[in-house]
Amino acid sequence: MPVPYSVKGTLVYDLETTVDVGVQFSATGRRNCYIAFSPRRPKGYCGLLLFVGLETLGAMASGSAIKNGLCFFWMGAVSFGLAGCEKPSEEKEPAVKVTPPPVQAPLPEPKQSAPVKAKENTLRFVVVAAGEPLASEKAQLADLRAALEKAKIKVDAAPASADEKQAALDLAAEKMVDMEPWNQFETVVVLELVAPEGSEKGKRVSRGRGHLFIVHPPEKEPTFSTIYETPERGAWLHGSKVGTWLATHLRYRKDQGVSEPAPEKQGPVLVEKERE
Amino acid sequence: MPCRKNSVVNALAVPLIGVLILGIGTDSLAGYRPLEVSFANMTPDAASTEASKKCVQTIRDRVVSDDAHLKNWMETPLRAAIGAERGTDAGERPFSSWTVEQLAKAMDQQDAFLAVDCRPEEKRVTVLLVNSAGAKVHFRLRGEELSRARLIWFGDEMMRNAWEGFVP
Repeated sequence: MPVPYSVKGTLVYDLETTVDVGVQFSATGRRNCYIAFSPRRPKGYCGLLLFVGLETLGAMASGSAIKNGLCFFWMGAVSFGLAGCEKPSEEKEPAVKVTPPPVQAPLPEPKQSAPVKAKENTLRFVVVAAGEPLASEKAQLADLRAALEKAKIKVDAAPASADEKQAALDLAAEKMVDMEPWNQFETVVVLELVAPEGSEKGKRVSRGRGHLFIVHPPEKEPTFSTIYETPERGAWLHGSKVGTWLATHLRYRKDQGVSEPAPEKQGPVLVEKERE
Repeated sequence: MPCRKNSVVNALAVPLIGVLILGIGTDSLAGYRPLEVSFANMTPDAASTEASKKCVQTIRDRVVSDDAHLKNWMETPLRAAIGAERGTDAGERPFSSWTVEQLAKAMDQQDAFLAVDCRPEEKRVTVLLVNSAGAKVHFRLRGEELSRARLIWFGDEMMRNAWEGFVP
C-alpha cells in the first residue's frame, strides 16, 4: 500500500517573518503539506490544530497512543489533506526536481552587432572650434573638464573626429545624428565655438556663435541645447560652473524616478568675462 | 551746563547708533541694485495648461530668487512693441528668430529679456534670453520630465547667462 505522504520533512523557516516555522511535507509531487505556525499559512495552522485534536481524541478513545500509531498517522495525514495542503505554486519550492532541458546548440550570431551598452558616468566631450581656441577658452574648457572629473565622471576628451565635427554641424542645423561610436557613452557634450567675423579687426561684422549640446545616446536629438550668439567669442563659457551644472544633470538622470535632490538656492552670480 | 551738554550729546548719539545698527543689519552695499528683467510667457494659448502655468511660475520664481526684479510683458503688447506680427512667427520656433535689435525695444532699459515657452505635457521648454552684453541665447530642453528640480536646473544655466554684462 503506497504511502500518500512521504515522511521527508523540510524545515520551513522564514527569516523575514521569523514566525514561519514548521515542517513541510511533499505529497506525491502534487501537493505540499506543512505544519507551521505562520500567519501567512492559516491552513497549516489549522492542520496542526486538527492533527493534535484528532491525536488527542484517538488517544482518549484507545487509551494508548502507541497501539494506534498507524491510526494516528492516517488521521494526521487526513488532517493535512483537509487543512494543511495546497497545490504547489510558482513561488514555492517545487516538490519534484525538474531536470534541466538539454543544452541546445548555440544559435548563430546575428549579422548586425548589438548596440553597445552605455557605460554609466562616462562622457564624451567634443569640442569643435573654428580655428585655434583662444587661451581664455582653453582655460575655461580645462576648468569645465576638471569640474566633471571632480564629480567622478570619466571624460573622454580626445580630439573630435571628422564624423564628430559633421555631427556637431548637424546638431546645430537641428538634424538628427546617429553616431555609433557615441553609444558607448552615457552622455555626449558637444561644444562648438564660432568666432564673430571681423572681430580681430575690431569690427563686429557678424555675431559669434557658441553651441552647447547634451546628447544621451542612443538618442539622436539633444536633450538640452544652448545656442549662443555673442559679439565676443567664448564669453559664454563659464568653465567650472558649467561643469558642475552638467554633473548635476547627470546626477538627476541617475536619480530619476527615485529621488531628486532639492536644488540649492543660488545667489546672484556675477560673471567675470575673460578677455584675450 | 556740562550736564546739559551731555544730554544733548546723548540725544544725538542714540538715533545715530540706531541708524548704524540698522545699516549693519541690511545687505545694502554701495552701488547695489537688482537685475532688472523683462519677462514674457510665450506659451501659446492652445498649450497653456495648468501644468504649463505652473512651469512658467517655477521659472519665474527661479529668476526672482536670483535677486532679480521682473517686468512682465503680455504677448500681444510685446509683439506690438518689437514689431513682430502675430502669426508670422507661429510654428515650431515662435520667437527664437527675434533679433537682439528687435528685443532692445522690449528691454526698455532693463538688464535682460526673457521669453519662456513651457509645455510639460510635451516635455519641452524653450527660453530666449538677451542679456546686457548684447548676447542672444536660445535654450531648449526636450524629452525630460519637467519637475521643479529639473526646471531649476534649467534656470541655473539661464540665469548664469542673464547676469552676463550686468553693471551694478
